[in-house]
Amino acid sequence: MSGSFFYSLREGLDGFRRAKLASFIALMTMSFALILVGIVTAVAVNLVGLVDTMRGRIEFEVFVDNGLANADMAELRQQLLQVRGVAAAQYISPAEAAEIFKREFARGDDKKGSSFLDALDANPLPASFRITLQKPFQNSAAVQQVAQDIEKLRGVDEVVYRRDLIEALDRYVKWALLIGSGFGIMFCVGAFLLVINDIRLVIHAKRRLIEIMQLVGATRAFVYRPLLVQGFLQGIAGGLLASGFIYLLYRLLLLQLGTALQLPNFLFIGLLLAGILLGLAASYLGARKYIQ
Amino acid sequence: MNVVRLSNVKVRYRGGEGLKNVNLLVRNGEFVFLVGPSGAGKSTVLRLIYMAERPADGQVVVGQFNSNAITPKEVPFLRRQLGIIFQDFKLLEDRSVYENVAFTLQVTGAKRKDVKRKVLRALTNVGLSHKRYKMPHELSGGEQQRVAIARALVNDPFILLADEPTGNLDPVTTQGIMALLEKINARGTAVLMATHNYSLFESRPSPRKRVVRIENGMTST
Ligand SMILES: Nc1ncnc2c1ncn2[C@@H]1O[C@H](COP(=O)(O)OP(=O)(O)O)[C@@H](O)[C@H]1O
Ligand SMILES: [Mg+2]
Repeated sequence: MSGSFFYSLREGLDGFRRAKLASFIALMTMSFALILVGIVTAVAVNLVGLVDTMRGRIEFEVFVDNGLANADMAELRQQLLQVRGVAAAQYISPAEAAEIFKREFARGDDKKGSSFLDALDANPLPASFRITLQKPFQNSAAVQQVAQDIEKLRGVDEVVYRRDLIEALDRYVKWALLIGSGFGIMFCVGAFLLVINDIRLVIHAKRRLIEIMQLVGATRAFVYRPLLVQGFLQGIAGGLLASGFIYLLYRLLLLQLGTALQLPNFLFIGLLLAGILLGLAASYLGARKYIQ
Repeated sequence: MNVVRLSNVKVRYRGGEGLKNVNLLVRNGEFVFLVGPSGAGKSTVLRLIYMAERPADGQVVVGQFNSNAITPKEVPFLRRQLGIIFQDFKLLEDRSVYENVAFTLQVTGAKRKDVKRKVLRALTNVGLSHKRYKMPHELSGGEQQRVAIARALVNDPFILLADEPTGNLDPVTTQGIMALLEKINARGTAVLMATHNYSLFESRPSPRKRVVRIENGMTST
């Protein structure tokens, strides 16, 4: 058993030496395919992350009726928190509202806004609550429902939110993800087919070896083993090369863009596993043709 | 004792003739010539014996194996008891003479320490132990066929199957290979040789030899 294990390992490694060019081409194709998979996955992860942050920023401003008593204000806050989908309700007093208003205008070179507010005797801004939503409610249908529920509450004057932003997110993100993953999957499948074909060529070069092994009485498992070992090693090599390339690309992008890009660790493990599976499957498919 | 028996065997090929009715018996230690024109079905008969082919009808018995009962898993173990050689030698071009012969032992899981001894013995039997480090392309056709014979013999088969073994060789080399096969047969290994050349039988008579004729997929004695 151990003798035949070392035989398979030796023959598997030997397979590269005996078909250098074909092995090299198969390795390059494999790395290319895995790099493609890696990039598609990384882009998808970052897009989903981006959309998630944008959804997290969905906020309601709930303006309170002018002249609502303080006790009623606390009561209203409790009621807001009980509305389905509401995660938090932050109270913003008229004074704070005025502060925010000034700050927003002071940002531009336009100082008129703040002086405009200063010119008034009384603060005209109402008290409000800033509402953030629970994750499952961060889409346009749910947002509308939550807004309606809040509007029914006593003491609420008006609910304001970026409806257009939420709807656009919902509409375009869905299509972008659908089309993007469609193309991604198509490219990856195409690349996988190339890999399978190239590894087939590697095995095609060994068809005589396979024929003779069977003639002199090697078992099927014994014929398969070195070929699968070769596919396995090819997969590991391809996975490592692709991982290395993607990591370098990631560092380069970080330097260039300076923004926070996500590169999850599971991507590297996934690439290695995908390489191994791809190598094994391609070797098996290639060998099956010549094995009775 | 019979080592090979084909009884009323038929093989059908899509669009081809295949075998219509083949009966063949090879007894222990015999040297049987299967003679017939090209396309008669000789190679198919040999393929039936090493069970690369299954009969559509009739049965093939080889040693303790029977075509009606053998499972695909058992076929390799049948082949370990056979030696097979071909017109085109079927050597591994990128391995030395020694490695070509050792190959049989390695892929059938022989013990390491036995390999060297058995390979050298087989190469000595075919007169090529001094060329064990050569590559096949450095050898003449006759020498390459001897390497193939050594590879076929290294597992001590009870029968040697030869499919036109001298088909690619000149007359002088052919005589050398025939003499070698006779020597192997004289030591007790049965030989079944497929050939279109009847004179190979005629020119070297021996009481151990026998001819079975095959034509259009049918045998006659
Ligand atoms: N794999 C195959 N598919 C279809 N026909 C075949 C196949 N192998 C052999 N034949 C046909 O079977 C007949 C016998 O072939 P074969 O045994 O090779 O003859 P021989 O070895 O005597 O020349 C021929 O007519 C040949 O064309
Ligand atoms: Mg033939």
